[in-house]
Parts: sequence; structure tokens; C-alpha cells
Amino acid sequence: MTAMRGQGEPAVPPGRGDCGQRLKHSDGPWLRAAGGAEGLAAHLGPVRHELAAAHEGLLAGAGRLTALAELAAVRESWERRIQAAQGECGSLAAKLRAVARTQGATNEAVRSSFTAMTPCGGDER
Amino acid sequence: MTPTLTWAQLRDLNCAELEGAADGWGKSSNRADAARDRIEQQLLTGLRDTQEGEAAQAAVARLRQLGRNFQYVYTECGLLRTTLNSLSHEMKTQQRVLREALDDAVALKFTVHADGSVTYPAAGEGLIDGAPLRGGTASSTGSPGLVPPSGLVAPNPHAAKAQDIADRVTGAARAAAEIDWRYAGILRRLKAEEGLKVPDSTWKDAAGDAAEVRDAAGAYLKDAIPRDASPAERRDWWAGLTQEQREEYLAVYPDQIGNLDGIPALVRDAANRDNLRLLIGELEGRDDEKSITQLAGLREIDRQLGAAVKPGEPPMFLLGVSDEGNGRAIVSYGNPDTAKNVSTYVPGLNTSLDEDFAKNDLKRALDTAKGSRYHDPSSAAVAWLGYDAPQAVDGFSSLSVAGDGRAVEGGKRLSEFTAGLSATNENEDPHLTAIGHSYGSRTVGAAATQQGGGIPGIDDIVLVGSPGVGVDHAEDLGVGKEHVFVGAAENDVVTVLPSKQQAAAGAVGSWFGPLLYVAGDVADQGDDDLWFGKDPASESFGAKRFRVDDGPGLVGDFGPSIAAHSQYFDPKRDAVSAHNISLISAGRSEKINTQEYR
Amino acid sequence: MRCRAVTLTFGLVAVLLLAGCTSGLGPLGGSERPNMNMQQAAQRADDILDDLLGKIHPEVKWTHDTTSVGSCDVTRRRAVMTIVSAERRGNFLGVVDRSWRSNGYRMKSINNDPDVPAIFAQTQDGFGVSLIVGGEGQVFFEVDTPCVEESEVAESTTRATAPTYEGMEHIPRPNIRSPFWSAGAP
Repeated sequence: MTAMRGQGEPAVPPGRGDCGQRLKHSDGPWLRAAGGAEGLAAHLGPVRHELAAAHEGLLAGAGRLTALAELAAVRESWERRIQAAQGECGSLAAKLRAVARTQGATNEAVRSSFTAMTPCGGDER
Repeated sequence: MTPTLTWAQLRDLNCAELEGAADGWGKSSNRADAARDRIEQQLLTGLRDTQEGEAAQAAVARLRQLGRNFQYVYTECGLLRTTLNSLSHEMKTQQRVLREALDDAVALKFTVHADGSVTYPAAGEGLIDGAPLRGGTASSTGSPGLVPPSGLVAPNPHAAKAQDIADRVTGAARAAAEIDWRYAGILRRLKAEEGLKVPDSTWKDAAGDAAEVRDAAGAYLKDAIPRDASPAERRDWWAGLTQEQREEYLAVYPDQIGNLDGIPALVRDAANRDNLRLLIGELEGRDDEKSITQLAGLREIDRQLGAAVKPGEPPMFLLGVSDEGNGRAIVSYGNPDTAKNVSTYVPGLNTSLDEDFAKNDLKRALDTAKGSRYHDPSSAAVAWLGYDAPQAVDGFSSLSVAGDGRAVEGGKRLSEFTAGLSATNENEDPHLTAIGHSYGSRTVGAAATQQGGGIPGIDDIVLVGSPGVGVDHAEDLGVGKEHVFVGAAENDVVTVLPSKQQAAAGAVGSWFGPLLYVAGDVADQGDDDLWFGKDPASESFGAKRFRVDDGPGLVGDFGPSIAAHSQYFDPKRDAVSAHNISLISAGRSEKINTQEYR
Repeated sequence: MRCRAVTLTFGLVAVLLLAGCTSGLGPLGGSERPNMNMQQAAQRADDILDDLLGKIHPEVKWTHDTTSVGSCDVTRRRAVMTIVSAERRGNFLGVVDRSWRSNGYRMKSINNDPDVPAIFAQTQDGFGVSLIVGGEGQVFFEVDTPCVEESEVAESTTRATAPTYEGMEHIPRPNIRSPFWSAGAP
């Protein structure tokens, strides 16, 4: 179980935020999500192999139990479900990248329309 | 109907293989959990608040569904792990019985046949003719303990023993067959549903699956939870479990672990987030008023838990949630195990698990956490709805509802909760504060007087809007009178209630009648006595009084108000009182110095 | 009849309560101001904060802090990231005090502790305004709204003058020096 809840990664490194500007980073989350979705697909890759290894020898050692006949069917159903989830991760990654591209285009247009922006420089840290 | 299993098959059953398979399911469950967590804590943050067009919203919706999918996979794979472990556990028990019987047979030089019958040799001398008694074969009659019929011939002493062994051998095999059949049913029902969605019906089924597995795994898991032990002992028990064991408990008994004082906060939070989802699923299926009310409260808590974290926002920890009584919800802002200062806010009259609690009592705890953190960042504040507060259904005309009973019961639970905070806090000497609001202060008072030494772990007590705490002197609350702080706004309705003496003298009916006061006042010798004993804000009580904002008056254009600050030309929150409470909670009570300012 | 003054007060209150027992109660029995919702109240709170920070000269840099939300009220917070030295603290409070009074705010309460002073005031339209000095001399401002109609509340749209700490649990202690306000600070 993951230990840290509510402790999301900061969007910007501490102390180096851009004076309240948020637009600049709004394509970031989409790209990050796309990469994350791909990572999830990879994360699920080993499941089939792990389950196979874990059930190896089961038929030999406990083969006579009717429960195990059920288990085989159950295992197959979960492998299918997890595989479907894996596929969804990949498909979503593509969609998220597409959104990121649209966001990026929008932001450029907005940013280029800013004229004088008060910089945050001039103060010592 | 019961399939058969030979005793040889039972003997040869390799239960370690079952446990190995269980571990595999544990791994899958963990992967799904990690995936869900990554989606919720990383991928979705930053996307959530954007309103950037259909494609984006569709992508976010799919991502959320994927998260729910992983939640489902995590839960069900976890159940599969426990099912297989439990199956192994039960089979091992029968294997033990079988092995002992077989060992006895070997020792006695009996032969156990494949069909479970047991052959015994000739033995000893017969009573009738002195010849050795013949050997024979005993088979299980199906009911152990039956004496084989044969009144005329003195039985071979081996016969009874052989019978016993046969009964045990066959009994073990039969029990194993029954176990096998039972678990086959459970496993069958744990098949995955097709696709990626997790509709409410699936959650409902998941809850049913969980219930079934819990029933099966009762002996294996549940009985080992140290419910009657002290919070410190429970903490030690949890620390002594292996990682796999902990995962199992969280998967199968999240409601037990999540609400157990003495379990570390991070673990309780993880368990209760699962509980919350399962509870919401359960309550969605009910249409009685209480379920609907609680569901609204739970949904609001769920929404807040899932909201993106903003700058400076302390993280939320769900330390308790259940639909017991009027509902239970315990929410900490800030990690109460790592914080040096932890304050626990006990709400009062009319509080129950509903939307109002989820919004307003939680805001109060968040505000307290923020205020304390200004002074000491290592601070946390808990909104503790861990008991049934009295519900004055129609204003104060039925205050008689609010006797001491709820406070006494609530006090016990509060004490256990603070003992839990103490046990799991990682600092050597954490500073704990108990804040009682209206009837909650009576509960705090009850907790303080139920055992010697006051409320476990509590160093400072704050009473706001207190109708009396059940004792007459601050020093009776177990923290020393210099650690009892009372803020009572002059116009706080709760504190102008008549004491029981006044009410009694005024006889029947509601206390709204002005005549009541004339009569009542004569009976009550001093105005220090409120409904539950001495007014804690009085000088004779001996506590330290702190400043709360005086409201403009009790009566507004819209009728009597329960809070003194409900006039719409005043801020709802009393910043002055909050400031003082924050100082106390942060361990800086010596800085309280607010005065009227002209 | 012989009644103590105290009894008369209770009696009067009781009569009023009896007479005033009607509906119109918001959550927790509070009454809601008509024609304003939480988003509007939060916006007003932002305006109050913008105004008060804008009137501090030389300027101090500030960042957004937590917004807490109930069923009918909002609390907005901002943290000052400019170091205000102990020497300048009194001056700072004086500047804020004068500006609030000139706005017609009602000064309600003060904590004049030298380390952790605080000022509590209220605007004429019923918003609570607070200055709180916390640990290490950091200055915090809070605005509490009255009880109004429930609505969603968006983040403040005012741009902070110091970096914002997105996704971070703790706002750091002040880390920006001002030639004036930080004078004498280590």
C-alpha cells in the first residue's frame, strides 16, 4: 500500500514558482499524465507472468481439489480484465498527448498577447 | 452432493502451493493499488480543475474510470489472496487431524486402508475361552463415538481404538471435502466482470464478496485482531505483523483496522478510504432518511479527500468512518502521528454525520490546523465525531434529551481515541489538546473524570460555549487548572440555559416562558450553575478565561440563533476565539492576551 | 415583584425568543445574507486583501495561503513572504492599523504580545479581517466572510507577488528581504 497520501509532487520546485503565473505549466500536467499512463501499462506487464509463476505446481500438489478447477477460470477472467486495463492505459496515453498538444497551442497564443508583465525580480532572496 | 476426497489426497495436499498462489494474487492486488494511487495522486492532480474542452474532459473521465477499475481489481484480488490463504489454513487443520490419526495407527501397528477402514490385529486373551481375540477391521460409521454392536463377544481392546482412528481419518477427509466445496463456491463468485467499468452493482457485489470472504476467513484473520487490548498493545500487534499480513487485514477487514485506536494514522487513513467507498456503495442502496443523510455527509468527505491539494493545505487523514449510530467520522488535518501538536475537537448538540458536519465541522478543524501552523508548523487538528451527540430536534425545548448518558459513553470513546493518538505519535512528548464545543465539552468533562489521570495523553483542555462539564472545578479535569481554558461568548445561547434547578422550580413546559425565570431564579442561589453543573467561565470554576468575540445579540431578524455570530452582518467565524484556540493548540497558551480594542 | 436585574434580562430574552421563533435559519441556525453567494463573498474577501496589502508601503511580497470553505462561509488567507523584523513589527502593525481605521473598519480586538501580536477588525459590510503574527515573525492575513448563499468557490484570481507554493503542505517562513521591513533582521 502506498504510504503517502495527499502529498502530491509539487508542480514547481519549491521556492522557484513564477510569481503566481500558472498558465505556463498547464500543458505540463497533460504530458505528465500521458507519460504516467504509459508507465502504468508497463507496470501491469508482469502480472500475467507473476500469476503463472504463483500457480505453478498447484495442479500437481493440490490438483484434486474442485476449488482449483474454479480457480483456473477465475484467474483467466482477471488476467483478461487486467489486460483490458493495460490496453486502456495505452489508448489513454495517446488521447492525453493529443490534449497536451491542443493546450500548448492555446497557451502560446495567450502568452504572446501579454505585454508588460511585472517581473518578480528585484528582490533579494 | 458433497464431492469426495480420499484421505490420501488430503495427506498429499501441498498447502504451501495454495499459499504461493495466494501470494501471486497479493502481488496483482498491490500492482492494482499502486496504479490506482498513481492515477489519483499524480495523474489526476493538475488535470482536475481545468475546464478545457470536451476532449480533455473525456480523457479525465476515462482516467477516473480507470482509477475505479484498479480499485476494484485491488479489492477483488485481495479477496482472492485471503480466500486461498484461508483455504490453506482450514485444510492444514484437517491435515493435522489426519496425521495424528495416522501416527496413532502406525504406533499401534494398525493398517489404514485406502477407503478409510482400519484393520487391527489379534490381541490379548478372550474372557470366554482364553483364546486370543481375533483381529478385525473397523470402518467409520460416520458418527464417531458409536460403539460397534456385538454384545455377546468380549471385544478386542484394539477394536475401539481402531474405530476411533477410522472415524478420525474419515472425518478429516469428509471435512476437507466440505471445505473444498465451500471454497469452490467462494472462488466462483470472485470471477472478474467483463470490461473496465465498475458500476454500482459491481461495487455492491464486491461488498458481498468481501462479506463472504470475511465469514470464511473469520478464524484465520478476524479473531486475531486485538479488539479488547489497549491502543498501545494494538500498535505493537500491528508492528509485529508481516507486510503480507497487514495487506490482508487491510483488504479484508478495512473497517476493523481503520477504526481501531492504536493503529498508525497512515494505515487507518488507507483503510478508511476503502471503507468510505464501500460504505457509500452500501448506503446508495438504501432509501431511509438516516442513510440518505449519512450518504450526503460521506460523499462530501469523499469529495474533499479527492480534491487537489492547494498551497499551504494540510493533508487530510481519515481516522474513522462508519455508519454506527448517528454516524462516525474522524478527520485529521495534518498527520497526527508526526505532528508535535495535535488538537481534537469534540462537537456537540445536534452534530451527526451529515453534510453540515462534513462542511462546517471540518472547516473548523482545518481552520484550527492552519491557525496552529502559523505558530508551529508541526501541528494537526482533528474533527472527532466518534460518538452520538444528543439531537435536540426542535431547538432547545427538548434539552432534557441531552442528559449525561451520551457524554459518558462519548467520554469513553474519546479517551480511547486520545490514547491511540498518544500511542502512535512519533514524537517523544507530543502536546495534545482536547477542545469541547457545547455538549462536546460535557463529553470532554466525562472523559476527564472517568479514570485517574484525566484524559489519556491530553495536556490542555479548551471549552467553548460550554453548558457545564459535570465538575465544579477546573482542577478536577486532570490537567491542572492552569491548563483549562474557557471561552464563552456572553451571548452564546447555550450558556444562558437555566440550570436544572431553575428548570425544575419553573415546573413544566419549555423554558421560553418568562415567568419560569422568576420562579427559577429564586431556587438557584447563584448564577454559576448551568445545566451540567458549574459554569466553567465563572470565577469559582477556576479556569483560564480567553477572549471570544461578543456577538451583537441573540435575536436576529430571522429568529433565535444557536451561534452568536449568525447575524448576516458579521463574519460567521469568530477569528478572535479561533486565534486563542490556535495558540493553545500550538502549545503557546501563555501568549493569550487579547483585549477589547477601542 | 422582586426580580434581580439579571432575571429581567433573561426574561426579556425569553420573551423575544418566544416571539422570534420563526424560520429563515441558515445552517447551524445562522441567517444568510440575501443576494450574495460564497463565490461573491470570496471575491469581496480578495478585494479586501488586495486593498490592505496594496496600502502597505513599502510593499511586502505575499503568497496565497489556504482557503477554507463551509456550507455558507469562506475564509481566505495570505501569507507575507517579506521578512518583517522584530524592530519593524510595531511599525508594520501601525501601518495596517491606520489603514484599517481609515477604511472605517471596526477594530474589535488586539493581542499586543510583542512576539505574536494580532489585530482583529471587521469591515462595515460584515467581513472579518485579521492580521496574525505567527512563528518567526511571519505575518498572516485572514478574511472571514459572513454566512451567505451556498455556492462553489474558485481560487483567488489575484496574482501573488511572491512565488506560489502549489501542491505544498507548508508555506515556507519569509524568505524575501526588503530594505525597509527587514532592517535589523538576521
